[in-house]
Amino acid sequence: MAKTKIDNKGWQIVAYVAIAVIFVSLFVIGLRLTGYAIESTGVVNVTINQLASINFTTDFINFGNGSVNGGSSTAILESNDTGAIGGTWNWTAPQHFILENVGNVNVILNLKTDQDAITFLGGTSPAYQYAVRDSEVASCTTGTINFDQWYDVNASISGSGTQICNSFTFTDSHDLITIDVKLVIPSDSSAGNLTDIFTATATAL
Amino acid sequence: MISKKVAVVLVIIAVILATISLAYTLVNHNQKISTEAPSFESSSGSGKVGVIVNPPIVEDKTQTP
Repeated sequence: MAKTKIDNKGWQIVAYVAIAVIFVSLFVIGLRLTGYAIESTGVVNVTINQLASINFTTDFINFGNGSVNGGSSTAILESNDTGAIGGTWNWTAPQHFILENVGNVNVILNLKTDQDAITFLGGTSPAYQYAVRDSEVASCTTGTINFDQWYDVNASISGSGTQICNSFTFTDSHDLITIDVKLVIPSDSSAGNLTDIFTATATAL
Repeated sequence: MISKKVAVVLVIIAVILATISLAYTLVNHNQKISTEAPSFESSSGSGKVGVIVNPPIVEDKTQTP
């Protein structure tokens, strides 16, 4: 008789514990389902990482078709002009590479080409040069070069070429530069469709 | 007085609900919004120069009489 009483008491305790667990579980599930917030504060943490990014908005300088004039030893083609001196090339409107810093950080800008004057044009004393200037004021702080001055291209295999901007800024209205190209084509140059690639490399400051 | 049968039913319900609430808690605990984004420290772009070179124009030096 006493044992039965104890058993009953034990089941009573188990039942009450089970009821308590049911209530707690329903409470927890209810909170999750309704989205009720236990804490009323929140923190939004956003990190904006550096993005170095440049883009050739104009990426093709096409001098077209022509030849060196008879009696002339060379033809000079400057992309910011509209025709050759000493040759028959005419491209009607000035042409330039336009390079924009489209990232969110100032960058160091280097420039190189795949070929130099000899491999690109051939012949006797060819020249293959470029000149840089700001399209938008204060876009490029020059390093080893001066604006609007012709320099031989850098076709070195290793590295990223000549540093043309110590700082190429990303702020709108100050993030655009122009690169002109000059070719001196000798009368004994290679003939045919000649092409080369300019590569600009930006490294975040 | 709660009978033994009712107590057993209550225990079963309690176990089921406790399992569900635990599962909800674990799932919500592991939900994190990632704010990590890749960082790009360098970039490059390229442009092309093209010219078609024909043989030089030869001057006609023959003179007509």
